[in-house]
Amino acid sequence: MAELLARMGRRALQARGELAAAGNLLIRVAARLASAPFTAKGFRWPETFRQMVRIGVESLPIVFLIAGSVGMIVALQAATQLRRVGATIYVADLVGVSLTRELGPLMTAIIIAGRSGSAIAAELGTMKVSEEVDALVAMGLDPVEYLALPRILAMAIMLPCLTTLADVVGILGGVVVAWVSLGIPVGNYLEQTLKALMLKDLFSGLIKSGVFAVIIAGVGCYQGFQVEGGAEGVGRRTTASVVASIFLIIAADLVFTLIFYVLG
Amino acid sequence: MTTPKAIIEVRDLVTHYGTRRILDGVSFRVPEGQISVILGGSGSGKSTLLRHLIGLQRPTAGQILIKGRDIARLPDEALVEIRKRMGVLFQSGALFNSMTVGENVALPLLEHTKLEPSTIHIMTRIKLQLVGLAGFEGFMPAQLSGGMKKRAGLARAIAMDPEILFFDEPSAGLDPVTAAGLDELILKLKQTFRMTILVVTHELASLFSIADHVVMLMTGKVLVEGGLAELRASTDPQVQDFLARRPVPEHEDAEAYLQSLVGA
Repeated sequence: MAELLARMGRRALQARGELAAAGNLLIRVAARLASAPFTAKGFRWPETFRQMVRIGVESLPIVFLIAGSVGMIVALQAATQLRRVGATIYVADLVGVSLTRELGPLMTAIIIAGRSGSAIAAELGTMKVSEEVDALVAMGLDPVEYLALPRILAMAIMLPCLTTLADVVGILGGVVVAWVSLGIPVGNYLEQTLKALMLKDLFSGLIKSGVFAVIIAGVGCYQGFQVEGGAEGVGRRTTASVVASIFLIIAADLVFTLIFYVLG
Repeated sequence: MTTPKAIIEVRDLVTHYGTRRILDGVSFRVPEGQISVILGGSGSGKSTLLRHLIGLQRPTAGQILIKGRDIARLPDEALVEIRKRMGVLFQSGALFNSMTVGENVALPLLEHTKLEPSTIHIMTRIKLQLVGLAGFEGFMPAQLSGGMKKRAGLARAIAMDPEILFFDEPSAGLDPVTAAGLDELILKLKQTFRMTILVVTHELASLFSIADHVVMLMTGKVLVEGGLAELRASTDPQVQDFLARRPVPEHEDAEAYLQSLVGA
């Protein structure tokens, strides 16, 4: 029993150390972001655009597929319950609000954590192992500015866009279910959705996804830079980045939900 | 013959990896405009020494004076200026795998100078021609052989016409012919550009063909420092074993051998 507690304690201390180091990385990124307008290379837009394409554009198929499916699932579950009270039109409200406020940002973030967050960790980790990161430093370049900043910036721009698109596709999934299985005309459904949605739902969802973006890319970069020990190390840290990202995303979501609840 | 002044001076360097002491009070000089070789077997600390000389790690104690400035005490931003005047060839070349050979070589010029892209292009071709890779600008690193990767890495290291050039085990993984070609190139760089060159290696053949000044390390201490003649004349048995490629004798005492097997 004591052994178990000791192990948990050690793990907790280690986790705290890693969290502090990751936070340190984000502070350095923020400093670079603040000084970027005054440096020659600025925000490194060419590289940032390249990352935006990889993180955002290339993720569209999977995000659409999952968002559409989740929209349909929520609509079906809602319909089953609302049918009992003869209020099936409110499926539109339920799908619209739950997606924009909660499911859209959360689901998109988890998909992107698995897809792009792991890719960032694997790519930077492989660079670390083959001494490419050392070569950058030896050349007088800062790996945080050159590698981490474009990826975090790209993620912060793309994830809210992906989230918005996921919301739209999810609502369309609801449209399909409502029309096929409940006989609700598309026009009515969409009108009802728009009535139910408030601007603050969309905004809270986008703010969340901005924070999730920083978590995903920040953890990916941190884990990538920490890799040591060859291929096995890369594998270990890539897995760790996905697990840590998802955990932190959900923890952040909980904090946000509490805040928004208190603020009304 | 006048002794050239020391462009690098190391004084009482002590380094640790965790709690393990790697370098134990290492002191030596690197003469300007000559080829110095840091010689040592595996585990002698020579790779660690190189990492400290290029500022990738900071020592526990001691001074590393490059052109009179102690780089162990300088903040990271100040190191950038010094790094612009240094070039490093890492063991596997450390080329950036996402860029072509030409883009790799051009990177320091793009980042640190305000030269026109057309000028940078010409300079890139000059450097590649110098290392015998003329016409390979468009190749990706994955398409190159080991020897070609090192040459490309060297072209990148000399892109900014550095004053000091560091080589980390340049002959590692190369066949004798390719290794001899690389040695020729190192000599050419010294003669044509008056560069100070520091090579970390354990290859005797390279040592005898290129070295002006030798520093031999063993288990974190300097055994011998001087020219090739002084090295050969050393009476230290470890030095003589190294130069003669004599292996350490195995157990001759049966009793001691049995004890070590049984774990007494």
